[in-house]
Formats: sequence, structure tokens, C-alpha cells
Amino acid sequence: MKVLATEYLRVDLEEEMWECDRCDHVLGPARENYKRFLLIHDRNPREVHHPLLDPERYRFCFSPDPEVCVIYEFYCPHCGLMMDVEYTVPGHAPLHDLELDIDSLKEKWCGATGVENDSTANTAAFRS
Amino acid sequence: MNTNLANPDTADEQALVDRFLSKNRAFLGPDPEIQRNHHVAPRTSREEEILSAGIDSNLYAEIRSGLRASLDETFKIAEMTVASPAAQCADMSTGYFTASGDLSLASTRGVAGFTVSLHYPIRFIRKYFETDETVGINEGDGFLLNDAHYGGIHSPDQHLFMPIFHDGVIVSWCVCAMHEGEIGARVPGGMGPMIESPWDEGLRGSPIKMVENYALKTDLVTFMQNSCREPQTMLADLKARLAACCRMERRGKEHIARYGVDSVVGFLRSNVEFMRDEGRRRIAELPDGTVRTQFYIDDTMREPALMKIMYCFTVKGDKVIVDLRGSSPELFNRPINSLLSTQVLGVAITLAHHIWPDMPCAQAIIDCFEFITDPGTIADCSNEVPVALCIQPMFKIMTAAELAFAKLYFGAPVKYGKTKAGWFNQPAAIIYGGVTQHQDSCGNMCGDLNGMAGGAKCDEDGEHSIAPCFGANVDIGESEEAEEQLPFIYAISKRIWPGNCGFGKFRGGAAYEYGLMRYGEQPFGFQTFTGGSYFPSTFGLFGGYACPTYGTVRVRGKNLFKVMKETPELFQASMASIMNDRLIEGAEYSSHSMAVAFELYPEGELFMTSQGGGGGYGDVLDRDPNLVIKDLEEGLIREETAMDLYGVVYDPDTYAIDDTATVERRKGILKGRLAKGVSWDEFMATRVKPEPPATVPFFGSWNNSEELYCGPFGKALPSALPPIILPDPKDVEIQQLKAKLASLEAPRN
Repeated sequence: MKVLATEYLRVDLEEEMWECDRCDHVLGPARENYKRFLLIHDRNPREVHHPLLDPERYRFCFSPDPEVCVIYEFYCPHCGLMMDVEYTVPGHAPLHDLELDIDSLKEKWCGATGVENDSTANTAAFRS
Repeated sequence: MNTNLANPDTADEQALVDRFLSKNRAFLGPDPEIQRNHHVAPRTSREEEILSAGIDSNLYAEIRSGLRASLDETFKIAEMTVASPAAQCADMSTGYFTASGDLSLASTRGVAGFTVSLHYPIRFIRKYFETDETVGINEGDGFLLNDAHYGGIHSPDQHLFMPIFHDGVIVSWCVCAMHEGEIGARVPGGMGPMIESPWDEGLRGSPIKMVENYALKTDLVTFMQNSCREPQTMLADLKARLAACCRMERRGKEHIARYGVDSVVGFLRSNVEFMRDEGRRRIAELPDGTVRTQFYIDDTMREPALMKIMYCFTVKGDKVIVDLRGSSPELFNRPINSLLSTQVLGVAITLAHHIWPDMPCAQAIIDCFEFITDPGTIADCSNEVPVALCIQPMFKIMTAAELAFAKLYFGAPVKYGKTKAGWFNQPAAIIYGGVTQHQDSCGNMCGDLNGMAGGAKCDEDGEHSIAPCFGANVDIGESEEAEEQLPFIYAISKRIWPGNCGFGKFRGGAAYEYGLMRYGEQPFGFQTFTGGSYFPSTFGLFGGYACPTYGTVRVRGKNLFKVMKETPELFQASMASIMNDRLIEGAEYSSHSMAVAFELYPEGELFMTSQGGGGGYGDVLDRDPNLVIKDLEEGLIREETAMDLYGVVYDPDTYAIDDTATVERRKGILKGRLAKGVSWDEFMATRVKPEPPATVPFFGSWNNSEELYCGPFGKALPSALPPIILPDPKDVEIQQLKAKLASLEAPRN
């Protein structure tokens, strides 16, 4: 059984592997930090958030200060899908943001009876 | 009769000592036993007796409906009679509590968060005042509170508590809580960068019996009025709260008369237990796991800094552990510290507003949560540091909880609401103070604080400037009404600017800019106290980007009313046009952070800022190109964003999309990502540094370090943090200028 853990990240509960939900690429063991299996790019935040005011004239130009802020973008190494974005301080290690207990996840989805719930149906129920 | 109590000389030794100590406590300060316990109180013997006999669910539902109607009725009474600008925008709440102080039912409108944290003062009042002969609790009494060390959020909020008696016994409490604003602090409105100690925070109202026999005590009311800048507002709002409480008490007694006291007491308690048990049940449905988020408060309010707040939510069975360790040490002379009770409150509000929108808002819903902290940090500060701007760390934990549970629920079999990105989370309001055109002194905040934008959802864009992160059903007020009461005009009012939202497959809501222009000769000025000028304040989700950063900008040294009259074509109601084009000759244009100290502004000077956008959801390349063009047409994004970030190719004149070229451009962007992305190992080896950057003082753990960085004071273990007393930035600047002067004056060889 495969369960969505995020919008783009899937867990194969039988194989216990992270997968890309877009291209089906198998990323790595689900008991490890999924970010270890992605490509990472540190991006200048001003490429994304263009200044509203002229940065040559004004220090506070309504765009993040690259001296204290960097964007880590995490891509699927197979299809390039951007799975996560992390705003952090330059030089800081990426955050291990999601650490699911795989045994518990299996139990919640398959239960003691082994009857599988439909993960896509539940997600779809909250999309209009 | 206990003769020992009547005659201390005949008491046994221990009883004598106990009695002496109980009567001679030097200071009934905040009680950690109360303040550090957010859990539901045990059943009283009466509640146990009633509930163990079995409950009638239909009867309780009827009582709930009746009391709910009473709360909404009394909310309306208060809303229609208050004078505080924030409360007029519905920054208030009414509620019924159990006799022990647990919130059972809050009004549907307003900010339920006010009532959520008021079990603390009720327990304090009962513990210390009930048997104190000089205070006591009697029918018709009302206790006023505004000091967050005894409960509530922060000192600008004032709450009135009234006990509900039956046959001489307290059976419930009712409360009318609201944001008052002006409380005689060092700065107008009770909040501001210049608050540097708890003694700058103005009135520090521990629970005070302000009402006896259903009437306000004139001597105390006069004291309260005498201690603040808005005596008329103070009086009006005390009366509004009292009117609401009197009506709530009356309705409560009517319910007791109609349904019997046991039914009402049983309902109040069973509702609390229902919320407690339902919260626990919903947590137990989640897969176990840990979600981590870290935020940076980027301004001490006096100088730039990076203060980390670390949030780690771990679900284990039917419990949640919220670990805040690793967060920045508290700052001794800056106002952004937060009490633990404030952090707890932030989680409860978020769960009720954003994760379980079908659940009532009460502290009982997070009874199964436990908090781990390093005492003496900005997430759990001591009583010796100022907390006037505790909403900075509080709003951060709200977004942290929002994102944590969005992630935990995404992979869960059962959900209770849509997954969405971070709501905007800063108090981006202009605070004003001075003398009005009606010759009244004043000090309060603009209702624009409530104009935060919503985060993007899993299937639609976020709403523009819809509501604050802490309350769904409040308002931003009317510009015209503010202009009638206060000496300024909204020269720019609620204008959207391009780029003020988190980009993504679904974008966050956008937020508006606004500019206040001083009108009249009387002394009057502005200040702000918001972070997020260097580092974005709220985040996106699953590949969605954050909101941008913000600032305050000014046009000074020129009366713009004259400019508008003589050369109206030079004034464009747009912050970007005004600041970038600089058409007004002789005016001084400057930009500043979102935390600026109070300053007076003469007539015709302009002070501008912006509310904040919501976080984006999902990869930008997943966004429907038609929605990108719609954003462009509506002025929500810039052309560079549409083309370079979203990868949409279109005719710049007609906005007609070239579908084929768009597919190709997006393919190219995907290829570019594969080319520039590096592996984890390479990234860790080449990008990650052992120390934080030296450019800005850093506070908190760095890459999970055990020691906490303390800015200019080095680093230390959490148990041995130094007092962080920062110098006045003006003194620093003077020293720098003196050194520069000395070097210029030094004889040259």
C-alpha cells in the first residue's frame, strides 16, 4: 500500500521507501530523512521575492535580506519537482521537518485487520 | 467552633506557623503552580456526584444552545458599547466557565483566544481571595485583570470576571474579555519597541475586585482612568464589560431556574470533558511522528537580530509533546519575550481555528499536550523581563502548530479540515498616540492589525487580508470612522501591491498597503512593532514559497496636503510610486524596519506600511497558467514572477497564453533544477557552516547545538544563560560617531 505523506511525497508501506508521487521515482528508505534523497539548491531570496522599493536607495525594500535569509529548494532528483522549500539562515543545516513513525503509519492505514484505507479518497474529500 | 483560629495564643505551634505564613505572604505574585498548568481541573465532588449519576445529552444540548445564545447576545452588547478601536473590530470574547475555572463555552464571534487562557486568573482568585477576609468573592462582584503573568495574552487586554452563585455557592464564572489597548505604558497603546522592562508596560493589573454589588467602584475606576491616556475609553469599556457580565450572569441564573442547578453545573463540566476527550481521541487517530519547524524573529524591536524559536511536535499515541528547546534566550531589556502560558494558548487557538475548525476553542482541547522548554528563553521567559510584545513568539507558535498539524494530518486516514499553508502572523498595525482633533488624549492601534492574509489551501488560493491568524470572525474597521475620530487620513487605503503573497501551485492570500497622513497641528505620532523586515515571517507548504518581508516608509519634511492641493498629479496613492519616483521636491524619503519607536509627525507627513501575505502551497510550476495570468491582471504578481518563476509564456500586450511555449519553458526550468541542485552530502559539505553568520547577532541553537548562542554574549548552556542586556542603539551609534570623529580629528603624520 502506498500513502501520501505530503503533496508530492509518497510512502510505500510494504517496501518502506519514500517515492516521488509525480514520477514514481524511488527516493530511499522511509525511516530516514527524505531530504537526504533530494537535490538541494540554495537560492537567493531576491530571485523569488523581487523588491518593491529600489534596493539601491532603500535598505528595507520589501524583499528578504540575502545576508540573513536563504531559500533551500528541494527537488526530486529524477523529475525536478520541487517537493519542499525551506527559508533559513545561510549556513544552517536543512531541517529534518518530517519524521513519521512508519510502524504507526502502517497500523493507522492497515489496522489490525489489514484492511486498507483509501488514502487518495481521504485527501480528495477535502479538495473542492 | 475552632477556638485555635479565634485565639492564636492557644493554637498549637504548627498551626500557628501555618496561619502566620498564610496571612503574611509578602507578595501574592504569579503562582507557578497555576500558571504552568494548562490542564483541565479534576472534577469537584459536586461535579462527580452529578455526572456519575448519568447525563441527559438532549438536555445538555438544550442548555448549550441557550448559553451560547446568551454569549452571542452579550458579545453584541459589549461590541456595540465599547470605545476601544480593537474591541470595536470584535477583538473580544465572552465565555462561561466552570466553578473551577475551565472554559466551557465561548462566544462564536470575536477572538476566543482571550477566554481560552483565563482559567489561570479564576484559579488564582479562588485560591487566594476566596477566603481572604479583605477580598472575598460575593454575588455581584467583578474582578478585572490585564497582567499576562496571571493569565490572558498581554497587558493591553483587559478582562472582567463575574462569579455566578446559587444558594451561596459559586457554580460558574462568566467573563467579558477584550483588547483595551491604552493602559498607561511607556508608549501609547501598551505595546511598542521602547518598552524595555516590565515597569514600562503600564498598568499591571493582577486580579482586582473592581465591581461590588454589580456596580463599578468609583475610586478604582478613577485610578484606572488616571493611569492611562484614554480615560473616557477606559470608563466606557469597563461599563461595557460589566454590562455584558451582568447579562451573562442573569442568563446563567435563568438557565439554573429553568433546568436546575445540577443540570447547568453538569453541562458546563461535561462540555469541558467532551472537548478534552475529543482532542485526545483526534490525536490518537494520527500516526505517530515528529514534525519540526524553526522560525526566526528578526528584530529585537530596537535592533536587527536573528532569534530562533524551535518547535518540535511529537505525536505518540494519544499525547503530543511540544518541545521548544533550542529557542533564543530571553532578552532582559527587549519586549518580545513570551510566557509559557502564551505559547500554550497559541497552540490551543491554532488547533481550534485552523486544524479542527469544528471544535470549540478552549484550553481543554489540548489537555493531552505537554510542553518542554528551557526556562529563561523567549518561549518560556522569567517574570523579570518585559512581555509587552509576546504576541511575536505567540504568533510564531501558531504558524508552527498550523504547519506541523498540516503535515501530520496529510498522511493520516482521517482529516477535519483542508490542508493549508501558513497564515500571515505579524501584528502589522500602526500604533498612534497624542491629542485628537476633539482635544482628547489617545493611544491605541489601527484595526488594520486584523487584515492578515490567509495561507494557500490544498485546492484553492488563500484569501486576501481576510482575518488575523488568531480569530476568524473579526473586522479591520472603517477608514472613514478612524478619520473622524483621529487626526490623520488614510492617504493610501487597502491597496494590493504585486508580490505580497506566497507563490505556489496555489498562492497565499495577498495583503494591502496603507498610509496614514497626519492632519492638524496637535501633537500626534506613530509607531510599529512588527518583525519580518529581514526574514519572512510566515512560510509556505510542500514547495510553496513564504510571504515577502515588510518595512515602514515615510515621507517627511513637507506638508503633502499642500502638494495634493497645488499639484495633485504628483501624489500617487501607491507606496512604490511615491518612494521610487520621488516626485515631491524637498521631501525626505526613507525606509525602516517594521519596528520603529514612537515619533511625533507634523501635519502633512506620511507614514506607510503593509499588511502581510499568506504562504503558498505546492510547486509554482504546478500552477494553472490561467491563474497566473489572472494574478497578473489583478496586480498580485509582477511580470518577472509570471515569466521566470511560474514559467508562463504570454503576450505582454494581450496576456494571451502561449501554451506550447509555456510547456517548454517549464520543462526548461525543471531541467535547470536538476542541473543546479546538489546532493545532500555535497550540500552538507559545502554549504553548512559550524557557526552562524557574524553579520547579525544570533540567538538560540545552531544546527542542534547544545549551547545556545547569546548574540554578543557568546554562548552558554540553557541552564547557565547570561542576562542579555542590550545597549541602547542610540548609545551605540553615538559611540560609533565619536570614534569616527576622533579618527578625523587625530593629527595626521
